[in-house]
Amino acid sequence: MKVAVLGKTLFSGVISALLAECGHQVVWCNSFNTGEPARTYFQDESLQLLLQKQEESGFLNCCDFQHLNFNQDVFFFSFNATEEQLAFQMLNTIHHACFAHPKLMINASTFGLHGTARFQQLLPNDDWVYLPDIIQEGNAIRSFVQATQLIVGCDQPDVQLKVRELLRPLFPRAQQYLFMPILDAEFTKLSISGMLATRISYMNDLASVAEKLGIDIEQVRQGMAADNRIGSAYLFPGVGFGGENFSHDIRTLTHAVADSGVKNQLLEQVWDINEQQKELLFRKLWNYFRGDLQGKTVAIWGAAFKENTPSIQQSPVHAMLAALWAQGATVKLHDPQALTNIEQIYGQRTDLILCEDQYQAVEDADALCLITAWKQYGSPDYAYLSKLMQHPLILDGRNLYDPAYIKSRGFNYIGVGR
Amino acid sequence: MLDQLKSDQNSNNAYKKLNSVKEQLKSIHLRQLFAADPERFNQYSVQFEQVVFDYSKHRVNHDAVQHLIEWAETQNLRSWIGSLFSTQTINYTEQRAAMHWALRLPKEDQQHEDLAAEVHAQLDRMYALVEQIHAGQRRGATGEVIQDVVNIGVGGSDLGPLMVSHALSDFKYQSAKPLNVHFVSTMDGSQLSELLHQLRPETTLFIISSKSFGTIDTLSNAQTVRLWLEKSLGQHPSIVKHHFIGVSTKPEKMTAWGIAPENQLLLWDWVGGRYSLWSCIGLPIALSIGVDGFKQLLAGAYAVDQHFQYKPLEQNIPVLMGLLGAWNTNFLDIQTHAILPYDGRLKYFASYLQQLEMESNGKSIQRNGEKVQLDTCPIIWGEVGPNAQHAFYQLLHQGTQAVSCDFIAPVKRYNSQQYTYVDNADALIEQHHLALSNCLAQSRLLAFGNDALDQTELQGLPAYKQYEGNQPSSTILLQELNPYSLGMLIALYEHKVFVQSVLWNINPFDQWGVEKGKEIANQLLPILNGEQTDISGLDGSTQGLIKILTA
Repeated sequence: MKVAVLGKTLFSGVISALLAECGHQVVWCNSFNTGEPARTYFQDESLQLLLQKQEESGFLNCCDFQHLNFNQDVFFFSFNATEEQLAFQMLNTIHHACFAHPKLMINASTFGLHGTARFQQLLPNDDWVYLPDIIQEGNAIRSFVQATQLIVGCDQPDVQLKVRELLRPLFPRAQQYLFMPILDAEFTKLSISGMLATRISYMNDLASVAEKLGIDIEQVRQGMAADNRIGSAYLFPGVGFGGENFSHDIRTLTHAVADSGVKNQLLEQVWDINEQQKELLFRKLWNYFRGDLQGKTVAIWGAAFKENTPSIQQSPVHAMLAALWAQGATVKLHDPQALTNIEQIYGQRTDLILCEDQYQAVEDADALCLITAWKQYGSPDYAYLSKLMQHPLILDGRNLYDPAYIKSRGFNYIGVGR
Repeated sequence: MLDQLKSDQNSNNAYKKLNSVKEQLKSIHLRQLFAADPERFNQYSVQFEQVVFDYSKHRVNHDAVQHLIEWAETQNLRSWIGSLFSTQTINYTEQRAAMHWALRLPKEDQQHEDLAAEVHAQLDRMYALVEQIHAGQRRGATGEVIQDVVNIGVGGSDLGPLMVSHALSDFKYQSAKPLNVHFVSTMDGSQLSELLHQLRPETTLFIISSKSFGTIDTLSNAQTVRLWLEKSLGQHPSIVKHHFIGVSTKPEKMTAWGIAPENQLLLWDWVGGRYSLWSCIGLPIALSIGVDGFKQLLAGAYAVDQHFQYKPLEQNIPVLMGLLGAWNTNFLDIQTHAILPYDGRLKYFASYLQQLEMESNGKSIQRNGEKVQLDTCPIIWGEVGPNAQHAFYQLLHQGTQAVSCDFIAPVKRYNSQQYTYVDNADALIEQHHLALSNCLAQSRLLAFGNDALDQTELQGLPAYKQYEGNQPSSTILLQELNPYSLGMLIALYEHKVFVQSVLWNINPFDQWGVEKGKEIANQLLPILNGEQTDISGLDGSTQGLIKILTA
């Protein structure tokens, strides 16, 4: 089939690469303004590689929107939640273009409930389906192809056939599709995010109790994960979840719940606990130093909201920086990928020192806070750390280290819920 | 009363003239004054920036106003205003200046450069604190963000901030995290006991606001909350450091209590408590409406300071307010004055003015040490107008007391898209029009009596359904009730009080009448605590009551 993929999201990259690999003729349109590069660059190496391969084989072409040929069988729209305006402008252009209807139109953007219906109003003569964005940053391709069942919002039974044909090489079996009405699928997508967030906040809530009772939450987590009704995913206590899409889903769902008039505070609390959690390491530091952080130097390892991504959207690092700066502390920050993004937001300031080397960041530091569980932070050279730091204090926001061992190396250790 | 005024020839003359105008006016009803002069509103109203002061419904004519101004002149009002706006110790019984005006000087004021610098140094410290709290970066001992601030103060350290915060609730600053400001004043702890069980110690900050830092009401409340905090957070000195702000003239006393120097905000002996909301005593106000809002409040008051100093007396609103009040009290024999705001946000305005006017001018000794020859401050009372209509308006309309009134209303309301009301603005604007129509109706009926009714209705109306009218009132319209116009309004009343103190030759800046009671209470406390048992020196009534209380 001839497929046009519109958007710059990770999902648009993944779907372009995968569909091209299966032999579809794919045009990936990810440049919408003059001056934008014609091709979005992802930090995800395997995705980058696959995209490159498909371009070379000729199944994948990139172009900007102005040069997009509307003679396609399928249009695939994948935009960020903040790009709704842009998406509508584009649909409007397509709406005025001259081509035969119906086409298969796939909305893969999360614009909240009725988001697909708003698109459909502009192009009512086409076949609309909604495909939830289930891509996980840092694990992009696998998170899509390894889905056990693909949720597809599709209001017309005859359109299901087209969807199946498009994705057949990736998902050959009928039971790999879960078709449902579009609105139901939109709500499902948000509910999944809500559930995952709830698990994290629940664990964080338990962690704060565990800490007061002298229990190690890590033992509890392992015990809970061993129960097959629960499983191990999204059970890690820490300094809070982040990420643009995930956070946006929670907000959208919370508002949808509130607007429905149903009195339901669970999601509000899930969100609040998480916001509290982002400051957790700061509060531990504050307690440790009895509220006197003026002039202290604090090293932070990790700025990305999770490992393997440069994204710092909704990352706990922001709450940490604001809180530390408000108390007159200086931050020395290391992250393998996110420093450029940090610099873009905060610019040059005397109380923020960006470090290319993780050990450079801890030099003369009064404390080291670990915020992102990058692999390279897993086994630090403790002797070297101890030598570099002004004061041997480690605050482990992801419970990455073994408390007993780290203490035996002469550090003061503070984790989450242990 | 005429014979009481023999001492001063000039005043005597002015007084004589006023008395003869009074005789002329005695038999003239307000409706006749209006009938005789279609231009009366234009003649007897003054507009200044966002404020219109309409005094046409007072029982005065051209002569009365002229002679009142002569009276002010013979009392040297002009030069007294000069003394107020100087560093002179016009509060002679305490050897202090009364420079609340200095608190609203612009930062770059040329005339009082040093004073402005001193005042703004403290204001800037307060602003920094407010901004820290609003940013969600002020933290309690556990590092949690402060979300509740409790102002502990009494009198001027309570009423002013409370009144203004409430009045400007539509201008609430939207802080990073929800912030609630509470007020605690009563020495019996009733407000505290209700509040404490709703608050979390970890996220609560207390302001101890006391000019002298010796007020027992405030210190007893402060002690209770300190124990409350220590019970859940422990006794480390960092608890007090992270949960208490002090506002006072006495840094050494604040330090002794445990308040960290960086948490001490200072004011000066030259500010009276009831004139202090413009200083750091206004911290709860700044927390409610934000730093910019607070600056607007000061700017409004500063504008009135300029108006008061430089406008001719006959165009000078505080002067007119003071003179009309004295006219009503001293010549028309009206002994009470009601404050009737037609805006629920001004709920505490009457209580605030009770303190401002009655504590200032409730005096009977002149500056020369002699007993006053005229009645001084009338009883000030009042309530939000629409509610009062269902309470005491009956007495105003058909009772036997003569009462003068101030009607206060904003012209526009619900017009600035504030998040607190924007969703319901249309319906609320209609309610505002309803309140305004009631405001106008009541002042009409009070002034004109039956004349305000439909004349055809009057036929055969029984006496108990009739209205005398002839009750004088002022109407003060604010373009809208905002920080600037409220600053203006309060300053107008402050200066009105000063004008009257000059007319009556009394010191409005002391309060010796409230000092003695505190002392006697201190003598009785040991008896009630059982530390002292000899009560033979007391009067029979107190002895009898103590026996019950200690039984």
